[in-house]
Amino acid sequence: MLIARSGRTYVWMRNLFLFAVLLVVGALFRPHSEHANSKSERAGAMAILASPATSQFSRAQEPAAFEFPRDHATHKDFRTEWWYFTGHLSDSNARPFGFQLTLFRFELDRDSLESRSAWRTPRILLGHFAISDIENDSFHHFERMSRAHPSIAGVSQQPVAVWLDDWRIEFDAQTSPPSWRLRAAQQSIELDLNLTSRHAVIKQGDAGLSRKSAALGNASYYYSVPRLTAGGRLRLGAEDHHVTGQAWLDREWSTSALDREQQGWDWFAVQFEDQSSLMFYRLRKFDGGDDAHSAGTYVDSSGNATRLEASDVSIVITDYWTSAATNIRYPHGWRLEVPRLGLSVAMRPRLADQEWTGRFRYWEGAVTAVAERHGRPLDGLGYVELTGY
Amino acid sequence: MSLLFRASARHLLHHRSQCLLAVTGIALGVAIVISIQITQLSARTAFAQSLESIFGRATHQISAIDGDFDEARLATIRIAVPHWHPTPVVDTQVEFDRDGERHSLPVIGIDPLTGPALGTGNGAGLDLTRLMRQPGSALISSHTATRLGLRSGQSVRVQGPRGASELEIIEVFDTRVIVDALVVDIATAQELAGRPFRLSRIELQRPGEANDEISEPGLLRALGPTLRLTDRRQNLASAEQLTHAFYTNLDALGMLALLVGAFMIYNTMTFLVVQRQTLYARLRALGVSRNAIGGQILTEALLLGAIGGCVGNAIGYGLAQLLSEPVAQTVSDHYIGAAHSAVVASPGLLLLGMLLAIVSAVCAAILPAWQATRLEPAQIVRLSVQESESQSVLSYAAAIGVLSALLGMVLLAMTTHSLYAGFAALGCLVVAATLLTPRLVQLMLNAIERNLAARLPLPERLAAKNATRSMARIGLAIAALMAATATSVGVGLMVGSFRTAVDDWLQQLMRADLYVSQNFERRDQAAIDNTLITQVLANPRVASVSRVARVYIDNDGVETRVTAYDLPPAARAGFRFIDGDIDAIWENWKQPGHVIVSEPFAWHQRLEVGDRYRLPTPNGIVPMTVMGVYTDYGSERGVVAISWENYHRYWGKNLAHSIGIYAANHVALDALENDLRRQLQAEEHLTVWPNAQLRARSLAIFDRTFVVTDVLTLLAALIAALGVFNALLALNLERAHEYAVLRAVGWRRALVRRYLYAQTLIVTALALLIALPVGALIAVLLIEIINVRSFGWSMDFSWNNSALVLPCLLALLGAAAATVLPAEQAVRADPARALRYE
Repeated sequence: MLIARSGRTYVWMRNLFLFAVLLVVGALFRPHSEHANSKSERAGAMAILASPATSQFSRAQEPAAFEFPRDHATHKDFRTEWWYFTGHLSDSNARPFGFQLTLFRFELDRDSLESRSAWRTPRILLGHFAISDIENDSFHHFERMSRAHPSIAGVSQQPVAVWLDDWRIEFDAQTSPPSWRLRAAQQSIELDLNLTSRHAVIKQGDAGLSRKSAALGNASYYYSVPRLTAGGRLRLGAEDHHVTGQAWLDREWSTSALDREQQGWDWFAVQFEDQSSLMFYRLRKFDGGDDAHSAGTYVDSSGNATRLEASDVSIVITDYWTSAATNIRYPHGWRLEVPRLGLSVAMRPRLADQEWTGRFRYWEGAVTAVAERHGRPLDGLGYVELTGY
Repeated sequence: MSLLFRASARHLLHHRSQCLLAVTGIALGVAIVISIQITQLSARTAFAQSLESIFGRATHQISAIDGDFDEARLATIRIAVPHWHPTPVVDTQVEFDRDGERHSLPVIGIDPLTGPALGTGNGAGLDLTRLMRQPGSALISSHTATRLGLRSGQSVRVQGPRGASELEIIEVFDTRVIVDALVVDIATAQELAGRPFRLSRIELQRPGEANDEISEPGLLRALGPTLRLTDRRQNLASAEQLTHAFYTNLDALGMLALLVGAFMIYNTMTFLVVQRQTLYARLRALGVSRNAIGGQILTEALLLGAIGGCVGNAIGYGLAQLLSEPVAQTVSDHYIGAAHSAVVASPGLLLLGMLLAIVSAVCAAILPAWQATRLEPAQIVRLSVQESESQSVLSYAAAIGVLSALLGMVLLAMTTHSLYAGFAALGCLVVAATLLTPRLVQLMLNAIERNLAARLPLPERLAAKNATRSMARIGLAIAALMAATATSVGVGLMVGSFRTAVDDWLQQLMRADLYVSQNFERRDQAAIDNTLITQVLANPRVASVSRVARVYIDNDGVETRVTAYDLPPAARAGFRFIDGDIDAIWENWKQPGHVIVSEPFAWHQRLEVGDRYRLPTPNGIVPMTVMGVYTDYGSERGVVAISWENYHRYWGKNLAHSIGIYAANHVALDALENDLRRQLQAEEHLTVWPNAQLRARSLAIFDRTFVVTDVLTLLAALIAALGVFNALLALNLERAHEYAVLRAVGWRRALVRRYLYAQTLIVTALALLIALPVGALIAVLLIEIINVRSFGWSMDFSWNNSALVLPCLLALLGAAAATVLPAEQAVRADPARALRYE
């Protein structure tokens, strides 16, 4: 309907959204959904998040010296920020699970207005929580959203925490090694994990400054913790699983916007069995080509990082999958070649349907990786995010 | 085409005006019934829509048993049922002046992030970010924008519960349903209401089938004892329960109008049959069967009824447009803040209109049809024969009337609570009076003839005599006029008595010299605290202060008001007890476990003094002893009254909604009022009301309530006047030769006119003579039976002449007007031509 009424509105909407949210959220809302009944609701919330950023926010322009735990906590001077956890778990019977817990923070304005009402806040929190139950071929995903509110949602610096209802991400610097705790529950699914890492964080891009386009300030601060050792509890209905595994944390904050011609992105993160890891994001352009600002990092077993440019990586799509729910066709198999590192990685989803069908439409899921480095086989597990399809 | 059919069609075409009148009568009757039904349906739709309103697919609602609630509770609900998509709402209200008129508009505070989908199709066009970020920004539906002449970009200065503020209409939106409210961000609503951290309700969308049992233990825990979950469909059901009695009353009025319409059909059909007696006799001689003739007459009635039904539906729809506003106003004054709705007519209703028209027309034609079938072939019809038969019809009618009256009395004797039985009995008595009327008028005319005739001038004497003779023809029209007038008088007397009772009650209840109340009668905003009361009491002009607070309880699914009173001795006389020992009541008033209840509450709950009532409080259910039952016209659902001490004890509250101020002796009230206004200047949400002003305001609402009733009774009277017109026209057509004779023997036109008007006035006056006592009887029944059974209100009957004047005047004028055309026809007729047919 929206398209039929005004193609221009649609294009404008989408551009606006791409500008403000796409890169930032890493998830694309598609206004031309098949589900008419929820369309306007999605549009309502979307319009709010997509409203143009105001200039008073800080921008990521210079590489910054990260300092922890300070930088694990929120950066309120930037419009958008997220704590993005993904990982692979298995219970005592080696039953495999994938999980995602992401909390996003948005500011509609830099300044708070004086009011006695707690709702007069510019801050919005959005949460995505998913469990991929690989054996049962089922994907449970939940979305929540709220304005920051003392009793509902918020971020705090001391202690480092971000929460939305009973979904909480906390960092404790006092433990040794310092640890993250993730808790999320909805309906009959509950996750409670402790995550620790002996490795330092990996600064992505130019010492943590990740440029998304040629324009100054169109960049984010971006660091990852590619190897977090996870342990805890996962409840699925009546079953309680003690789980262990590996998790990946992406932290990013920015006030940036995408270039007009950028359509979406594919993000790959693989943890290899030899403790090395690879992250690469490909920015796709509307014309089908890859954006030159696509980038990534390879971390070897000892924790040494190598920056990867767009030209270092070539990606071949080996398969496609079409969602029955949204009719969107997503890539469903990839081969990444990194000649510089003598690395070749083939990836396949562990579960086909790991599509998000809420307000934000994207595919994010657990994958298996079969790789070769300098001719030696190397297995791994990873997560892939596909937006803008 | 059969001979019978052609004969029938020819006759009806030749008597178009008569048919037209019959159709008009039935059409107006149907119009009134249908308009009431449409109005009711529209109001119901409006309410259903206001429930649906902007929260489209919400299925459930969480609200506090008592007023608003802490917004922290939303957090627990969100955690308990995140998949129900809970969204918070803050309701408040603003007033503003526009074109010299004060408007009151509900304000709905929503959370655009989790909340409803605004606008048709998609909300993408609405700047919800601005709504969230710009304090005082508001959206308005296109319906409301048009109604109030507001447009996008306009700033409106409004009075909110916390005083004046500026709202900017940032956008106008279209909705599928009519939302007559300002839509603001939840923060703006809290700021306007001056109630930060409080929510009015939480809207939820329950996934899955509506009829599944709710198995959410987490939700039930989160609700605790103070929050309650309601299903929207339940809300609709309870709203219907509330307005049931109100609409039943309107329906009864509508049925009465239809009855009058049916009388007109009967009248016309009888006349059409009488005119064709010779024709039918000839047809019988030609071999047409009795059944064919009877069937033909019924077919004619069916046709007239069908036309009347169509026209009636159309008029009813138009009438509904006029009625919907006052009805909606009444409903929101007394029951629920229903949204104004477009007038909607359902096919079912229109079908009902057709059916009512046809059934009443056919029923009214049964007797005339039966009469026609009894004619022998080629029977020479003499008027005298026919009239003696009519004479027996009058006697039959009177006999049925007596039976109907007996039935009515039996109904009354056998039931105590049923409203339908009450109306049925009332209907029986009205029918009885109506059926008896022609016979009574005839008897009175006979008496006049015997005792007065010699003393009357010739035209009047002749008029009385002629009227007696014509009673078979005009009797029913007169009866219908009587019924309509009696109903008008009865309703008028009832409303008058009611008003007197309410006025007396207000006068007795409102004993304070001045009142201070919050601008907005919102339950959740009791805000007058002790500091203010101490301040007021510090004024030497003030003798004492009373306090009133209201809380709401869930009484078997029906929301019930509990009013807490802190009464200085001077205020206690404000209660008029119908039952209970006054000394005992006041002795135990402040003790735990004692309540008094209003009359409607006692009636609906079937409580008596000494009974136990289980009062739900935040601290659980407390058994209370009913100490007394008092008069209260403020709430038809009824009220439980408790002492301030018990309010504090069980609700743990100390805030009042309003206070009454008693002046010290010999204090000038003006000075005291000025003192208070100065003192309360900073408290913009409070208003000082002098006693008389508050009473006038209460009575104004009362008067508004009966606007609809007035309109409907006047319409019934109008139909009756048409009935008289119809009957007189027929009569005069038939008597044309007689007038010709009068003209031939030298009567001037003026004299003939005088004779005709005299005839009308005599029978109308006699009908009114019967209408007055019958009206009084109706009033008594309305007061003693219908009001009690509808609302549980008792009151004394009080006579007021003004209730009589208008209906009587209207009947006389109507009858006189109805004579104009027939009289002119009669005097214009050429005597020679009329005599030639003799």
